[in-house]
Amino acid sequence: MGESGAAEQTGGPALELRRLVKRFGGRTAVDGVDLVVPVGSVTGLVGPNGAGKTTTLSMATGLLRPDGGTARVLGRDVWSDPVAAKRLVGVLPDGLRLFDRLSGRELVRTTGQLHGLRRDVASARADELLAVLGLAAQGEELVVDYSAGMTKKVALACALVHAPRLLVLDEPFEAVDPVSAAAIREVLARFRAGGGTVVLSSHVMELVERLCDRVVVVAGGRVLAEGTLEEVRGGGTLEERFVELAGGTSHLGEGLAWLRSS
Amino acid sequence: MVAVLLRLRLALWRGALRRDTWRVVVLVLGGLWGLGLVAGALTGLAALSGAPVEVARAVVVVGGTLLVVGWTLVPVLAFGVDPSLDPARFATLSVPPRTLAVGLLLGALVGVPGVLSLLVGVGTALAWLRGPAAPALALVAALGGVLGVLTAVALGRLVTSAAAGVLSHRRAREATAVVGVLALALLGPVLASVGELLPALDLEGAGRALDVVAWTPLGLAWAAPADAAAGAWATALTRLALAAAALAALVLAWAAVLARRLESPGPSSAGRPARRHRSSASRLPEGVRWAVASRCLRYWRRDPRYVVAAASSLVMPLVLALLAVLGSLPEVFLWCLGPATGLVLGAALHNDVALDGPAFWSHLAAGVRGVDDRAGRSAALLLWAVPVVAGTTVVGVVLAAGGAALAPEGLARLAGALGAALGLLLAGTAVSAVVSAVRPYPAQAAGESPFSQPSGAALPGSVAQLLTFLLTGLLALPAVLLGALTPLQPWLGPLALAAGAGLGVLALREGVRRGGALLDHRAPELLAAVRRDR
Repeated sequence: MGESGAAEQTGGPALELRRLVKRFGGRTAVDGVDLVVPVGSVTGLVGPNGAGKTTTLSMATGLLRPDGGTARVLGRDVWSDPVAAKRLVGVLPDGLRLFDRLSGRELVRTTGQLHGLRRDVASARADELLAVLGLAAQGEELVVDYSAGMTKKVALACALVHAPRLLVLDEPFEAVDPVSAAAIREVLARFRAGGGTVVLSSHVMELVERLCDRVVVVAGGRVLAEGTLEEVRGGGTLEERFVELAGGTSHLGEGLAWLRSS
Repeated sequence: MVAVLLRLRLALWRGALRRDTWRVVVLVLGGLWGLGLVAGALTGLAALSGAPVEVARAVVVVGGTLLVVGWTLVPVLAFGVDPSLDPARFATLSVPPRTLAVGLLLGALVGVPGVLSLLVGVGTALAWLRGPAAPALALVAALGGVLGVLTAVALGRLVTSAAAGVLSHRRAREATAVVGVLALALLGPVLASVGELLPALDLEGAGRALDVVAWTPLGLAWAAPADAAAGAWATALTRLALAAAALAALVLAWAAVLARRLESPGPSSAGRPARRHRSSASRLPEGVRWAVASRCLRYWRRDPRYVVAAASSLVMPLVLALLAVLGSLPEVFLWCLGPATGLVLGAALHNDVALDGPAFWSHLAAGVRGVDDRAGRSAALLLWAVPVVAGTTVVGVVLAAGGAALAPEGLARLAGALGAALGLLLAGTAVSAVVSAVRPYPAQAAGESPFSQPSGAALPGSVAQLLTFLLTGLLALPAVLLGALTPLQPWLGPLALAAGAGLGVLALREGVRRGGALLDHRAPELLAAVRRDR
């Protein structure tokens, strides 16, 4: 986990986490995570439930104060220079509500304005993002009435509206139907082609294999493996490697015999 | 099957109690309070045994009918009071609807309100312990009481289930909830004025109305013992039989509704476009704080929690004004109309971060500065609250002084009241800007029933509110004092206005600055607290 090549670029890696620690009561959720995400990469953060993915990403984006360690975005410290760092990051958190009494269009525009955009700029970008994500027809409906997939898409639009250079997406494909997922992938591809960097967490290994060029495996609040997709999966599939690393073994044995229908 | 449903109900209770110690406390306190009420009711009923038959009849029938109406209306208005035995949850199981109906009916009785209602229902027997036929009368009354309570529960469930289709639409549900909360808020004043009007009531007409009610399913069971006490045993038994038949019909009707609901458990509601308001929110100036303000303005219009807060701050003073005009309240209430509204509205934002809930993350992720957050929220409130407070002040003064309000002395007193009102509103907004950045306490989530108080909110909530009111009063003291002295020295009126507006604006600037600084330091902790409370 040394300095990656991208560190020579102005401002350093897109995201650099050093010894991040978070404790909840007596439980250590994140136990000294080090992570370097080079500019221009799409990095997948994979790990079992409770591995500390969401906690790590929250601390990396300024939503949760770490108990120790640093987080830097393109060289700006998220916790000592938050305004500069947050200007560069777009966030899609998992399981946090949106201001859902706004219509989709209002929500995206307001988010842009919160980032300091002028109203006409934010408004034009909101229209464009909703159109690209297939939400133009529902732009005037309240977000509270959206389906789960539509909510993810409008949240992605909010993460993009201020033209960030790093996107941090927590479970962007959860509860998303294939059509919406395709729309999201397309937007991510365009974002990356424009020089952006993406960090996303997911349970779905095939998706990570398809989208990401770098993978970080997290479990028990620690980084178990990190590198390019090829390095991490080393010959096998990512799923096999992941189960091996995260310590999944069969508990089935001889149980459930009564489930046989013949 | 019925036994299984009852056991399920008990198990749900145990589970809820084990998870949350506060619930045990609430349950015990609620139970004790309820038992107190029941004891009072039973004492009253026992005392009725010495009263003439007509009086006992009137009290029991009216009380019983109110019980039935209460069981019917409260669950509809307070959606989400107890979803633990929501029929829709049984959709995947193969339970025959009629069995389910009976099981859920009895299950609804297992609970504090159910048990207490049953106690009172059976307790009506106490009122009929009279004359040689006392045991038989008591039996008829107890039977009638049980039938009456069962009818109440069944009617309530039927109406809830039937309304569930309509109420599954968010807007309908929210509108009902808003109406329900306001109705509850008005209950006290309305009852008070009814009490005043009661002596003037035409007794004969009331007696005729009672006779009609006694033949409806609402009153049938409750009226039976009175007939028996008057010697008309055949009428009494007819009423009991009719009550039982009505109950059976209700259960059958409910089973039919259940069967339909079990086939289509969750009617989906399509989103409707938000009305596009070209009004205030889109005419605000550029800048982050005005973006915050425009979001808040939309919430004041669309979120039931805000709508309830705004509407009740308007309705309450209007009711007070009405009572004062009718003469039930002293005239001084009219002078206080504006200041009271200002005080209430000023505290409206004292837990605003908790009302945002986890959505507050958007401010954090965007790096919104604390002062912009505070200023935006305050501006959104003041944009509509200043005209409202000024309006209620004028209305109150005109009602109190009549034509004299336009005389120089009247105008001076108006200025005094206005100064106190604006001073309280601005100072309250300033205090709220700081208090809401210190530590949010649990609030209802958006979309939850406005009736449901989140657990653990009562104590910190009252402390925060009390603190807000105290600090507000302290900050606005000069304006309030000057305003209060205006009736003695009219020249103090303009001074009060200047003090209220001037000191208020100063306080607000300071509150926004301090609250903003707090927020800059503690926003992640506030977000964590708000998430924990969910």
